[in-house]
Amino acid sequence: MLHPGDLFMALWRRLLERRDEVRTLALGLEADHARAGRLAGEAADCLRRGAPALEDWAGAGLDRTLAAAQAIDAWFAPLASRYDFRDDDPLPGERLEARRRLNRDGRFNADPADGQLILRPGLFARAMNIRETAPPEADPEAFDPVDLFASLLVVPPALTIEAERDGDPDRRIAVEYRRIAAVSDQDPSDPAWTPVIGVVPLAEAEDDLAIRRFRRDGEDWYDPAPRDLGRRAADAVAALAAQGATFILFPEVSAGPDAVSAIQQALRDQAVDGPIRHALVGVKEEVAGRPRNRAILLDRCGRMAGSQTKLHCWDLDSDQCRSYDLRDRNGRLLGCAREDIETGDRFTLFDLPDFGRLAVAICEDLGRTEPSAWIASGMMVDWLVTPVMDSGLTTERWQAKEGAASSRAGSCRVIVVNSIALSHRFNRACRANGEEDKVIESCGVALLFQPRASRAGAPHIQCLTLPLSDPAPGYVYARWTPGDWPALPDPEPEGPESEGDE
Amino acid sequence: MNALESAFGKLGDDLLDAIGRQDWAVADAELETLAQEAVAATVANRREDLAALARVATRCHTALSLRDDLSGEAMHRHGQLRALAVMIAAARGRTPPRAAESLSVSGPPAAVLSALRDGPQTCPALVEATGLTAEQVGCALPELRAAGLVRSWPAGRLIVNAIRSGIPSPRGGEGESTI
Repeated sequence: MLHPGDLFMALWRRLLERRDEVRTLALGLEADHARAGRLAGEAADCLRRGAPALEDWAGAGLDRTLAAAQAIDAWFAPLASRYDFRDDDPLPGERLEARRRLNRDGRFNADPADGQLILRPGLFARAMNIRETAPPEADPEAFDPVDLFASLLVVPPALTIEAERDGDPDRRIAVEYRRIAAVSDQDPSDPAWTPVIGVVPLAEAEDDLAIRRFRRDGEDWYDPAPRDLGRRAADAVAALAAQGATFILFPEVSAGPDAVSAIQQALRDQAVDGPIRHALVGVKEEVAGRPRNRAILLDRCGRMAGSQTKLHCWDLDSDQCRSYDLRDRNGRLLGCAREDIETGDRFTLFDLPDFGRLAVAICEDLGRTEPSAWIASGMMVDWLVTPVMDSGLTTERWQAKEGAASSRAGSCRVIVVNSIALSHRFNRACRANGEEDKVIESCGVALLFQPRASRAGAPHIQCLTLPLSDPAPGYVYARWTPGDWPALPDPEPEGPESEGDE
Repeated sequence: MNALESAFGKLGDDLLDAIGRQDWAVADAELETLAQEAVAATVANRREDLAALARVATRCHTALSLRDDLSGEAMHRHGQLRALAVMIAAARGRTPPRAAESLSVSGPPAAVLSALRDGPQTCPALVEATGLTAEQVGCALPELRAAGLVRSWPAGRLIVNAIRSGIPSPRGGEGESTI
């Protein structure tokens, strides 16, 4: 029996093939709600008789193809809603099959070659659809077929992203949506849920995160080497557990193997009665003899739940080498320095019952067009976490701009976490250049972004800092209460329907 | 922590003790009580109690998962705890909409219903018509749909909302059927 999920995939492919015609059709329907309503009603009636009946009906014209796909999207709506539907339930057997497929295979469609058909809203969006309060742009150029559907999203099996280095050809990476099945006592879909986010910079002194430099193939390379600060990491985990942290984060390349083991043991020690449900730890690892820059996701017991490898290298230009005081063995400032890592070939969306839907973009990965733009356009994740290795975070630097843009476009919460070590280098360079006004005293180690809830609203931002001279206690934390945080001004012009005009 | 949550906590401790001393009859009795409480809290939609039960079930499950030498009998109860925790999480992840009478009387849902009596509208148009914020309208619509008071359909990328036909109007008569 044809399942609605499989019919949707066939219709979706047809719509993508005729994208320009679909855009014209959609814009016409947006101006003619009665016609759209008639088509939707006919499609829903066909779907009540089963997916094959809808398939027959959908074949006679592009408007029917779209209406049929949207009828299936509406049929999935109860699965994407926090509220129980009091409506009748057409095709209950197919509904059960949909649940089984999602729980078992992580997708509603049968054929994995097509990618993964999943629910578009993450857990946070199940009580309010941001697409309704901030509807898509009227500009025809901004048309994206993804926005024709409120409940369903196709995660493609692969995505084209930029080369890891400028000048190289674009490359394809695998994309994966991964449901982590675990027992959970958090309820992220509850609008009143306010987790506590803890951040441990870990690398505090300059030599806690040494930047090794070397020459290879006629070029300069850099290779960050974190000191093993297992004791410090374990103490911070225990202290954050005492503060009620739900999710704790360690920055990019901040932890070596001993620190990771210590974090795992400290998580295990608090697992039964403590509050920490997940940790994300930026690590430097050797895989098959090559260094990899990864973020590993640990569960409440310290067990590995997943990982994300950095997708792009961060090559430093001469200004950046000067900012971080990177010199060769003769003491000369480097003109450029390349990051010596093997990049990843897979991007994973994690669905965590204790935390919601999470994507990890390590440092440079946040700044590149993809996969950030794809995540934002799909409005699919609850959290976008970016561990970085940089000088102190502020609400003006690139991470704040990129974070604000991702939060605004993707309607997701964004967290940027940073260590402290590089700020010492930055300060040395500032003092050498007579730029005392730029010297960092209060070092930004975490930026937290809450997205706006409507086009007229503003994102809210919280910057958490530690004093550079004495970063005790070595961690920061904040409950996710964005109502108490400063608002970021919205750079976009307000639309005529915004509340501000009333 | 209220008295019932403390009592749930003691139930969890006693369950773990019973499993630790391999007293399977008591362990099964404690599990049965936990299941009965979970169903009662689910049916009555007691959100705080469901949250407390979720903590107890996951705490016990986690404690057992950290033991290295679980016997087959203990693993059997570990699996039951997982099933219970999954059921409690499923109950917490959804909530019944309020009754139609309550939604129609006051607050943003009532204002949205009232505005829709003038004809179908999108969320931004409802914001303009009601004077509510976009967030208030955006939060009201999913509950009104789930309660069967509003039906919606896509118009391109927009979502149009209308009063569901056959819904009694507080002003008398029936809501409009627009299509």
